[in-house]
Amino acid sequence: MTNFPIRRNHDLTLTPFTDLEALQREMNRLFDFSLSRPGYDDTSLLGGQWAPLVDIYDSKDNLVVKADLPGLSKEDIQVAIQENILTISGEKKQELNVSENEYLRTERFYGSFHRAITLPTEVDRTKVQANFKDGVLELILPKKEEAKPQQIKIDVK
Amino acid sequence: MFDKFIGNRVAQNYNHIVRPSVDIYETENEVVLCIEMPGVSKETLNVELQGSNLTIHGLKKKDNIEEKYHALYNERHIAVEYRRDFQLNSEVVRQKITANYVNGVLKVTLVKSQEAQPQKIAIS
Repeated sequence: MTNFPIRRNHDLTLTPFTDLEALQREMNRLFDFSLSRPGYDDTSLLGGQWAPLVDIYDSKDNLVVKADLPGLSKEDIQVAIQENILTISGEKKQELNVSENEYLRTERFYGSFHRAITLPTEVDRTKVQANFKDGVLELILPKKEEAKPQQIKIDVK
Repeated sequence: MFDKFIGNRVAQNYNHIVRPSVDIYETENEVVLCIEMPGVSKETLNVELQGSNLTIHGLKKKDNIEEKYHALYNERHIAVEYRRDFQLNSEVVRQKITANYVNGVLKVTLVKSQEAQPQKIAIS
């Protein structure tokens, strides 16, 4: 007779591997980012490019995309949605009235940027709300009716 | 590289203190610092000058969405403390320090004292 492993249906947070897995994720993250600063790709042969850091949030009705764009104004940012790809692009300019030799230190990134994000669900493009406050862009993307989670009732006979 | 590695990442992940990026420029009579701190609430911003040590401090708190929504993907700092110290090497007029926070960038303008400004010397 073969022994089948019995999988108990217990709470995920109680498994002894959750912590280990979290540690592994954290280590991977550490090594991914250690060689370059976040949001900045300096491995490219054509020189560094920067891209804003983004977050994607999910709720029942909306997707929310947030992007850190400090030092840009509303007019410098373009947002477009094509099918399920959201792109945020624009250009960050250095202060105009300051000459190169007056700078003692420049750590901030400048230049044009482009970031494309594949949205996990279909959104209603006509109802997108965009806010820009304190250097943070917030896009509220309402999900299409058919993309919302639906409860399917199964009759048990 | 290791400075960056330990200074940025580990601090970000474990102590939640972030060293913000800064641009500094100096003109004849001013020193200007532009510090990137996106999403910081204005009332938590703090600029302090003690001796020649300038400290900049601000808190990025979770907003409604960051708190309640489920995050599918996260790169940004959600709840952190921005902090950075600077050592000034020229005297500034304390009463004339100005700071304003626009589009996520804190701009601190320090006016150099008369002695620190370049003096024109006439050659006879």
